[in-house]
Order: sequence, then C-alpha cells, then structure tokens
Amino acid sequence: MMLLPLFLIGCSPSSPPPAKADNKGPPEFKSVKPWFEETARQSNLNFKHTSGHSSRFYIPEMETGGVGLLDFDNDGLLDIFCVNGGSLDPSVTNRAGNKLYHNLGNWKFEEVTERAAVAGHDTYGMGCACGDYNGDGLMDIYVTGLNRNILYRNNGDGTFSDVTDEAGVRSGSWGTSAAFFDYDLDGRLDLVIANYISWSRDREMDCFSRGGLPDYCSPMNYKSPAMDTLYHNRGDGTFENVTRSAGLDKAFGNGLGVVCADFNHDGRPDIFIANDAMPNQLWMNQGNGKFADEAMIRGCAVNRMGIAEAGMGIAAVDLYQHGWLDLFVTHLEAEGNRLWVNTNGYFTDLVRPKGPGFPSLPFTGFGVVFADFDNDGNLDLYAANGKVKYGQRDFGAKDPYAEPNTLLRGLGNGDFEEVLPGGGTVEPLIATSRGMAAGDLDNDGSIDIVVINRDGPAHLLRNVIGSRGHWIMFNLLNSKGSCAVGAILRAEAGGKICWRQVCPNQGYCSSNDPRVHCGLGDSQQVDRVTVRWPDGTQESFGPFEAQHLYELRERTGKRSDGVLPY
Amino acid sequence: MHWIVKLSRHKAGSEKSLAIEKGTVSDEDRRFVVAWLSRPKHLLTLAILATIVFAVWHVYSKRSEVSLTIPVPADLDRLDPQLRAYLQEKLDWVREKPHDTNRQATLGIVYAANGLWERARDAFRNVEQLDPNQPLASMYVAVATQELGDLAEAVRMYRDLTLRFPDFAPGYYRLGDASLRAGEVAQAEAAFGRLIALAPKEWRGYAGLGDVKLRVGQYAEAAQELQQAIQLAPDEKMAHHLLGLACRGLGRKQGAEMELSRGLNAEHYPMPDAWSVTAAQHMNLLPDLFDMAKHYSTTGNPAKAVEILERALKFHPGDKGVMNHLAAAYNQSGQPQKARELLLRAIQNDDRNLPAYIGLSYSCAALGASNDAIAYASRAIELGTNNPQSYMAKANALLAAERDTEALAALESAYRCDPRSADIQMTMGDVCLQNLDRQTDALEHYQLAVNLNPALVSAHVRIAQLHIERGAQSEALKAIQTIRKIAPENPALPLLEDRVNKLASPKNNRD
Repeated sequence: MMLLPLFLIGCSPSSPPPAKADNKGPPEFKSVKPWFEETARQSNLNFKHTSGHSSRFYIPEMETGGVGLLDFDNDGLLDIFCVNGGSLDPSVTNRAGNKLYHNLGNWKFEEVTERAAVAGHDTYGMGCACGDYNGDGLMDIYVTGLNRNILYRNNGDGTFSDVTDEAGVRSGSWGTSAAFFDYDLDGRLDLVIANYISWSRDREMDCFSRGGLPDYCSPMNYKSPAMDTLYHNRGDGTFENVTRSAGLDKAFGNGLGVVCADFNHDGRPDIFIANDAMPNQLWMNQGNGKFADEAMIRGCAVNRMGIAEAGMGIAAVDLYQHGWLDLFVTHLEAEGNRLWVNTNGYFTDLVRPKGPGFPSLPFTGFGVVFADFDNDGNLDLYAANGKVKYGQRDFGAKDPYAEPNTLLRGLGNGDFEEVLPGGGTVEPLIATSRGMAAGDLDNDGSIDIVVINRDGPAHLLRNVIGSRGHWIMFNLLNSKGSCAVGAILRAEAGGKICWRQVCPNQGYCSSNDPRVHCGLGDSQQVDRVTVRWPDGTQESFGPFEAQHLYELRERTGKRSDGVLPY
Repeated sequence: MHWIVKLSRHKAGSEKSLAIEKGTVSDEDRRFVVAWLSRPKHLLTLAILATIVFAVWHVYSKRSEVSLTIPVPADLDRLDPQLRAYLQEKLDWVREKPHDTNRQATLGIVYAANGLWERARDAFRNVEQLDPNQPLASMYVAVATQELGDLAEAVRMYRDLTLRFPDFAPGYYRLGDASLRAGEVAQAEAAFGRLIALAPKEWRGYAGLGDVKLRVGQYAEAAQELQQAIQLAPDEKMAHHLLGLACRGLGRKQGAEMELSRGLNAEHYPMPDAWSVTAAQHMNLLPDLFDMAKHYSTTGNPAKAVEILERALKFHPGDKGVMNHLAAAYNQSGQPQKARELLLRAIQNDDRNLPAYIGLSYSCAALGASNDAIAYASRAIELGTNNPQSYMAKANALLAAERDTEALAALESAYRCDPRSADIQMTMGDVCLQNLDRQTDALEHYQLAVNLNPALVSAHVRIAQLHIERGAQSEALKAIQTIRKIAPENPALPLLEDRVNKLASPKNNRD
C-alpha cells in the first residue's frame, strides 16, 4: 500500500479549505489595555496596497508588500516608505506605486512621493532595504520587485535618483527581501537579495486550495527556485555581481527572507536566507570573498524532523541575551513560526510550551520583529499574519486571507505570553499582513510599528503602553557618519545586560529603525556600553542616563578590545 | 404483529438451529419447542441468543436516538468538480444509513483526505456518538482539532484518549507526537515509552524517544534509540535526520553529515491505523492525484497512474497540469504515441506550455523521432532558461540521437540550473563512462555526486567499480566500506567485495 502524506500535521504544503458557512464568526475579545493605537488615518498615512488581483491568481500578488523606516532628510524623525505591488496586467496604465511619507512630528505625515520621485510605477514592487550605500550620510532605498529592482540614491535635497542601471543592481530576478551589509569589511555596504522563483505571467498555473477552490499556487508547483544575488560595492557608486564567484550559485531556493549577521563570532557577517518550502541556506562567510552553505550541519536548514518548511520572514534576535544571534522564522499555518537557538554557531530547533513559536500555529506569518515594546527589559514579539491560501478559519473580514496579527509579551528567558486582543490593539486588526517595520517614530523611547496589508490600508501602530519602564536608544555611526551596519552593542544597566545589533534589514521585505533600543525596566542609568564595530575594534562608552537617545560614533569611545567575546 | 421463535431443522445441516420468523405455531412445533427447551444446553443457547438479540436491539435503538447531522461543506457547489462528484456520491451513501458508523467514519476520512477538516471533525464526532467505544473516532476528532490549529486542545484530547483506551497504540503515538510539537517533553517521553511497550515493531516509538533525548541533550541515548528506529525502518528519513542531529551533538561531524544527507527531504507520515490506510483511495484533489500518479509511475505501476489521470481528465478536460501529468504517465507506461497526441493538443491550446514541450521531447525520443525530440527540448529551453528539466530532456534526445558529447553539455547546463542535484552529476558520470568511455571524468562526476549527497549509494557503487577496474584497491575499499555502512543489503556489495578481494590476492597480483 502506498503511503501518502495524509494527516501530515504541521507539514502539509497546502493550506486547508474554506469553511465560511460554519465559522463561529470573529472571536470575541475581552477589553484589555491596548499596547498600540491605530493612527494611520489621523496621521495622514493613507497608503493602500494594491496587489492588482482580478481573476487569475498570479503568485506575486500573494507575496508583495514591504515597508522601510528611514530618516531620509536627517531631521531626526523616521520617515516611512511603503512598497506597492501595482498590477501584473500589462494593459493597466495607471498602476499604483510606492509612497514616501515625511514625518512632520506629532504623529503627522506628509506624502512626498512625487517630489522624491520614488513611486516606481513601472515595476511590480515587493519590498525594500534602506541603507547608505555610498557613505554620504544619507539613507538610500533599494526596492525589490518582479524581474526589476530599483536603487534610489538619496540626493540630500528631498529627492532621489533612480541609479539602478548605472550602479548595476537591476538584478532581473524576482527579488523579495534584500539587505545591505559589509561582507568583506571594506567599510562599504554590499547588497544581498533573496530571490523567489523564476516566474512570468505565461508560466502561471491553475492551482487549488484544499477543497478544490481556485487559489494561488505553492512555489513548489513551478519547480523553478531562484539563485540569490550578491553585489559587491566597488566604492565608486557601482556594484559588481559576485553571486557566482562568491559561491551563492551552489544552492537555490524559493527565497523570501534574508538577514546578514555574524552567526559564529568569527568577525565576518554571514547570510541567512529563509526559503519557502525548501531548505534554508546559511551562507557562512569564508573570509576570502566566498560563502559556503552550512545550514544543514549548523541545524537551521529544516525543522528538527528534517522537513523543509515555508520560511517567510526572519528575525535575527539574541533571545537569551547572551551575545549569540538566534534565528526566528515565520511560517505557514500549522507549521508554526520556528526558533533556532544559537549555541556557538550551531542551531537547535527549540520548541517550548511558552516559546515564541507556539501561539503562531493557527496563522501564516510574514513580517516579524522582536523589540522591547513595554520597556520592561524583555524582548517582545510582533508578527504580521495573513494566509496565502484559503484557510479553515474565517476572522470575519471580507478578505478570505485576512488574519489578526500576533503580539507576544516577553517574560524573559525565552518565555512569552500572548497579548489579547491579538496584535495588542483595542480591536484586532484583521488583514492580510505582509511586511512590517518597527521603530520609534516619535522619539519617545517606545517602539512603534508600521504594517503593510495586501490590498488594504497600511496600519500605523502607535505605542501607547502606559506603564512603560525606562529606556535608552543609541544611534551607532561609523567614522564617516553613516549607520554602522553590523555593529554590536552591549549595554550594562543595574546588573542586566542588553545585547543589540545594528541590523535594520530583516523581517519580511522590510527595513527597520537602524537605531538600537533597550528597555531598562526600573534602571535609570546605563553603566557602560561596549560596541564592537564592524572592523573588529571595540570601544566603551558611558555611563548614560536613561530616557535619552545618544549618538555613538566610531573612534570616539575608549578602546576596549577583548571585552566582548568576539 | 407478534414475533415468535421458530426452531427448524435445516435441511443442509445435521444440527438444529434457532431461527426467528414471523408466523403462527402448530402443535407439532409447540411440542418440539417444549422438548427442545427441556434440555439445559438448549436453554443456555437460548439465553445467549436472547442476550445477543437484546444487545443488538439496544445498540440499534440507542443509535436511532442519536441525533445526527450529516456534515456537508457550505460551498460544495464551488469545490473541484471531481471532488464534488465524489462527495455527492458519498453523501448519498451516508444519507441512506446515517446511523451506520462505518459510513460516517468513511465520510470523515473522505473529508480529511481532501483537507476539509471542519467537516471531517463533524463526521468523526458523529462516529463518536454512534460508537463511544471506537478509539479511532475520538482520535480523529483530536487529529482534526490539531489540523484546525488548536494544538493545546488536541493534546488534551489525546491525553483523554489514552486514559480511556490504555492499550490503543496509535493514541500514544499521536499524544507523543503532538506533545513534542507543543514542547511537552516529559509527556512525550511517557507516551513514546508506552507506544514501544504496545507496539515494539513500530519505529516511530524509538524515533520519538530519540527526539525526546535529543531535546534534553542526552545525545548518546538519543543515538541509541534512533539506531533502533533505523533498524526497524532503514529508509525512514526522519530517523536519519534525528540521528544526524545526535551525531552532531556527540561531535561526530562526518557521521552527522552522512545521516543528515540521508534524512534530506524527510516527510512526516503518522503511524498508520485502520482508517488512515484507506485514505488514499478517497483523495480527489489534483495535487494529490498528481502525487499519487507519480508514486505509481516510479514504483513500477504506470498503468495505475494512467488510470487515475485519465479519470481526472474527464473532470478537467482542458487542464494543462492534468494533460502534462497524463502524458508523462503515458510515456512511462510505454505509450509515447498517446503522450504525443495529448501534448500536441496541449500546445495547440497554449504554445508556451513549457512542461508540454518537455513531455513532447521525451515521447518523440521514445518514438525514434530524435530531431523532433531535440527541437521540442530546445523550445522548452527557450521558454525557461533556468529550468533543469528542459536541459535534461535535451540531453535525453541527444543521447537518443547518439550525439553524446552534446548530451553531456546539455547535462552540464542542467546542473548549472540545479547545482544541488546529485542525480544530474550521476547521469553525467554515466554518460562519460558508458557512452564516451571517459573513466576519469566519470569518476569526477560520481565524486561530485557523493559530495552533494553522501548517501547516494549508486554513486558509491560506481566509484567502487571504477577503482577496482583501475586497480586502486584502497580507494575501492573505502567506497565499499561506505556502501556497507549506508546500504548493507545492497545487492552489488558481495560482488564488489569479491572483486576487491581478488584484486588484493597474491594470485591476482602475480597476474
């Protein structure tokens, strides 16, 4: 008798079918004090995402939508860049484009897309990575898209220039998440892009959800995983495609998420790519311009049963605050979001009843961020959810893919509890969420959130937790005054340690606040801060009073090599 | 109307038996009954019979009291036509006898097999009501609950199940598996321990216990349990993967790499039970039908694959996927002519149907039309330059045309598209060895294949053969040792051992 994967709990590639008629309606929630307030409309953030879906189910429609938080005019306030899909129908002329919102302060935003010239109407956008690639102290924007990515250089006068072709970073693949990082430690930001599949409209297929309703396909239906792309920054405003020479052509996957960090403490940033329904890749930096995929032996390619899951968004997070970055990857419903705990560069798929993955089982996760939203000294978790196929549960929204997002309160030591209503707002926001980014939009020391929702308005979530602990924030800058991507910070406050990394390009198709934030609980002072700069030098700073944002510039602290275990 | 018991002599049998019949009683019959009843043995038989009749009546009347709703998907009319037809047939069948536990259970499995878990749960609940002593019903209510995303509730239900049915092995498997998913290690350990006691031949018990040991950092104990699991089920990838993790924990990197590669592409199959083994026959969704057809084709039963897909085509007459899969099944079942006809129709509907061109290339090659085969493969490459299958098809067509060097180049292109494919390297090695007589190149390809997949036995066998032929005894022995370790039952092993021994013997050396 043949064995078919019947009742494959937690590993079925397709989602379950619709069951609208028998659903019990939207769940009722007790009224509790909210953590966030949805303020998009009042704040003039009127971005509405458009997938362009009409009748056929084109798979890019299901994956699009990212957001970047960047202070493009260096006025000290984070601005918001929202990436739109648009339309895959070539006959559509007035495609919805990306939008850039200038932060005016006091929770007011002004749309400046036209002046900034970043709409990108001629591409189908997926996500973005923000970084200062040319080291001029201004944040630039790299937008990923279907078969064409765009690099917008910040001109410093409120405008951007599309320098994609002259910089040589068009790519031509279907880019999803991207990340700036300095892999060869030459002080210039290189660029890696996770590519999904080789796809075109005429390769689209007819697929069905469980139950047989027409629906989006799984990437595995196309059997065309894409090679990721690595660009080396030449330092003259141009990049060289080094994908093959670096060895990234040795493994393909349906890449959706990417994060770059030093996972084995050898001082060199590595690349982790989350693949959808295929083993993930952990490209370990060999130090000679080459990378080797060691995900399988290092334990983060598949789940602990050896099964490849639908990796979407990624958070590289030091959950146990011991100086090693763990990996948390969002997945399909029933698979559950997964935590791989890092021990000396080797990962263990850790499932615990109070772990961060457990409450995610009923949802399909995309964007994800760990941050200390309530400033109690423990990292919390926000996950942006939304199905990719019709599911069993209906949350009362018109959109059959919509789900509530998840907010988990960190209890310390890797334990979490769910904050209800789901997502921490007065009423749960039910939408098909994709990319999300976190940052302090009003510089009040509390982390706010922006969420992009497929075919829906973006959510601007203002942190309104009343009983917050103390906090401190740092803007880590390299000697040229650019964001020190890859720097590692350890803050000591009242006997507690706060480890943070400057790693804004992570999550799903999104770019977070590049500044680092620590919740301090009762501590009113940080006794000492030690920073390991990307070039390996270590410096100490401090003490610092809580409740302030500080700028830490490379080569201005007290040299203290060897303090951090790197 | 009244019922009496009539005893009658069965003409065919020597013994008298009891029968129930509606009718009247004659004097002769009455006398016979009295005489029959006067014997204690007969009285006892009668009492037993009466008890049985009462029990049957009781169960039947209880079932009749049970109020059942036959679960029907709300959007039945929108479902896949083949599934809809099948569901309607099954629903009619259940409606005939709604209190029949077997029919309700079958309906539950039908829904489950097609991913309709809400309705499956309803049907399993019906079975639970009809027959509270059926552990599978309660188990599948919990399975459906788990599938619907409520793991905590499912774990609770599995726990209850094992308390109610302490000797029901699948219940412990489910409890152990769900507990591991929930991170409840102690509960999982107890469940797998009990599963091993109840079903000592079930590999999942040992694998589960191995996983438990891994989670608590007892790597040596984990490896022991997992080796036991592999002994019972040598091909279970999940057990190999877990053993790889145990080896890694023990610092045995080489062993870990080997086991992890043997565990690559693991899938999770729950412990089979009386209901789950029937599920495949109820699957009606195209992706499942494609998988099923592929399975039959690759396990030597392409005729069955053709049967499944021809039926699917009736419900989905213009579906590209069905046509392409059916054509592949035709090709594999030795009917390339049928495949070609079907695929020519498919590309008439869509001249950019890449898989159709690949299929056409294979069918033309099988029909001896090499030029057409090459042309169709080239068209597939045009349509999808990154698709390794297109290059593989071209290589196949070129080999059929005896253009071996070009075939090797096509395989190289395929490998560039899929650099993780040990199989492509293996094929390249075979072409070098068998078609081009390039032993050194062949050996390189086989080595690359085992670098990509250290558990690829066929490549190790070829490497051993080549080394023997070249007189490289120690390299041959190394390859043989690997085969012995990963596939001790491989039929090539004795032959290779014999050849390598001869290579080593003084006589051979003299020769």
